[in-house]
Amino acid sequence: MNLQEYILSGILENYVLGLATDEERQEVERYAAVYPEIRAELDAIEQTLETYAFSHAVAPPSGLQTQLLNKLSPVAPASAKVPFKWWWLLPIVLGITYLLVQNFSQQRQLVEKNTAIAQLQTDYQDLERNCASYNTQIALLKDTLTKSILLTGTYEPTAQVVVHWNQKQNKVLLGAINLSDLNANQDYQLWAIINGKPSDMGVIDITQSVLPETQLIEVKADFLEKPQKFAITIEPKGGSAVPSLDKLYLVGNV
Amino acid sequence: MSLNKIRAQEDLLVAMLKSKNQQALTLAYQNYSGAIYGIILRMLQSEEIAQEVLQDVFLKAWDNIEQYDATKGKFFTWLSTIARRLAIDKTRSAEYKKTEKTKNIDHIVHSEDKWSETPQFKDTGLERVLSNMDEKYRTLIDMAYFYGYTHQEIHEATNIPIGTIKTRLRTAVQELRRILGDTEVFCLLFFLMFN
Repeated sequence: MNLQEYILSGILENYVLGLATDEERQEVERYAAVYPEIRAELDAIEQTLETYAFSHAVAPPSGLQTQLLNKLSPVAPASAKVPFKWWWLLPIVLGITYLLVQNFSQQRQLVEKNTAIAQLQTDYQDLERNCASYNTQIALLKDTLTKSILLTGTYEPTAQVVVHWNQKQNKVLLGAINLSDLNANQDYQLWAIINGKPSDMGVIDITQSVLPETQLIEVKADFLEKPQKFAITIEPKGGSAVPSLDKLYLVGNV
Repeated sequence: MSLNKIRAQEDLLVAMLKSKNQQALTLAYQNYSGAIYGIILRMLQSEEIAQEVLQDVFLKAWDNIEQYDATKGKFFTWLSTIARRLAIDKTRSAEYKKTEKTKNIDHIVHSEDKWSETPQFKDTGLERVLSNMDEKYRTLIDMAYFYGYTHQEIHEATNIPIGTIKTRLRTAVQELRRILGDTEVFCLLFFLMFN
């Protein structure tokens, strides 16, 4: 192929001006890739027309550039703010809720257990106190010096009290108590009859006794002589200094 | 700054465009929008439509930058080909025909004034240089380059035989090349001006 003829034919100008047919275009591109002369000629033609176009440039309105950039398909910038994903908080919220519920329930259990322990402590103290009381009573009953005197009813044949009396220990234990309930302003009162004279041994509290059938009574210090009888009278609430003998309810000989 | 340096900058710009750098598009727009707008405004004769097409040209270039092959030609040639094609498509659209209904295309084609209209370019020095060029050659280049005419359309407008148009265009471009002379100087001038 004669390169010079090819260049002079005008095909290269027509190519750059967009007037070449598809066939011609492919041909020019093929030759341009192989022949530097053709490439150089194309470059010169392009440069000439580019310069010519620039010489006829018309400045577009200034706002058009911004409009154009706004139309671009958005390319996410690297610094794009990642929207906060709230669902990430869900496990944390659930966790905190679980801990709160757990804590509340444990606190309640703790209170319940503390209450139970306090109850057990009270029960234990009661038992201990009772146990001490029993030991004292058992010791008194086992004492060979203790005498048991059966007091029987003067009005009611079924009424009875056993008085366990230990002179050495100055103690009296009432047992096998079978007494009728009194009205609210009356009390049973125990007396020791010494040489025909009643000596006050105090009221018998059958309701508040730990074990209603027994009651340990500390004998008063002045109770030194051996009584001949024990008697129980019904007295006004709180007891009397002198027994109401008309209300002699129980009596028994030592 | 030499022509090689400008070429190197053009290569860099294309590389940046291919990596979808939006700043590169801004640069490309700042460099080439005036020349491209000059072409499509002449073709469409409507600022409104030309502005619309100008944006389409750059959007199309942005979307299809992968198809640009620097070994086959300069970036501006590629860009101006897109522009000419989109502008021709637009002249065939219903929208364009509606707005341009009152204008007689044939009248424009055959108008003697049309080809001698003064370019909207401020550099009177360059205009003076271009005015030295034979009017018949300049008209021929304008028809093909600024108006996207086919050989047939050029023939209809000038009565030059179709077989002669091809070589006549070669002569016209060579004349332009001679007139512009040191293209490097002009290239530099325009690059600086639109940069």
